[in-house]
Amino acid sequence: MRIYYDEVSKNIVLGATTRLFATESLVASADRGRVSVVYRANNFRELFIRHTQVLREDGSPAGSTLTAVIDYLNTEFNKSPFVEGGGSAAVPIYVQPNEVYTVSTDTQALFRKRIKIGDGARIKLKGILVGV
Amino acid sequence: MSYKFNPFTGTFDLVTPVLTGWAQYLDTEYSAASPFEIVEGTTVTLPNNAGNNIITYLPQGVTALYDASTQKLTPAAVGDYNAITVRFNAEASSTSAYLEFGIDTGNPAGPIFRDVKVFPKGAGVVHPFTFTCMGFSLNNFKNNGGIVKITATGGDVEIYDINYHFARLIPA
Repeated sequence: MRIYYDEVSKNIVLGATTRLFATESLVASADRGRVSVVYRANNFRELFIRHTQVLREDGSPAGSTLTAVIDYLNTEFNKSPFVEGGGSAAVPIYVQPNEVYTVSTDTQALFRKRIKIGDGARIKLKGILVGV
Repeated sequence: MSYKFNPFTGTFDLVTPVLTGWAQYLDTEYSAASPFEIVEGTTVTLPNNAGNNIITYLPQGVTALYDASTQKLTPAAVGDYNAITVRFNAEASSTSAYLEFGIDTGNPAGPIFRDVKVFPKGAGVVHPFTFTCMGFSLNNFKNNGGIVKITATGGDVEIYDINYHFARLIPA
């Protein structure tokens, strides 16, 4: 079955495109030689399958070993719509050279402690800085 | 017909045969270590090799209520009212999986005694299932026998400890 992070719906697809889970809500592990996928909120096992049954979005095998497949799944499960390359729903803030832009720490601009600064731009951070 | 001498009346009384009875047929081929696998989206005949049976209490004159070679439940007569119980343990690969059950008697309308079961305890967890079918056997069922059919949908399913229990409750 195809298991992947869907860039369009911003959710994890578990087999069927109608079966969606929020990002970071699932965790994969090995159990009795198979892949176990558990829903974190209630510790409920959603899947229990052989590693050879796990496919990527394009239908190719997710890995040749149990460990490789679990690594692939946990990478997919932890993809976020807020990181670069995810077709992000986050709003980019453009700061021109010599422009000062004030960002409060509770905005999503500081999500995962990341701020991207263009060449020649200056940025002034206001409030509690959790890391840049 | 048979008669038995009654020493109190000095007459021969008609002995009524025991027409009700039951039998149990246990599969010995599939186990937790080596289960029967149903791939998602397929309908299969539930296997039962009847390797371990209880047939002591069959109705008088009836030799079997299940034929392991054809995998068919075999009612004793047209017009009987029976209780058929199918039990097994199953594990699904996904919580979205469910089982569709039915007994195929060759009826053009499809299997009878249809039922659906889900896996509420999650994937990879053993679920004991019991399908109880109370119903009559008419010409279709008597002439064709009944094949237990299982469909797995939404995920693969592994089945073992398969057990058929067939009781003839009301003879025709």
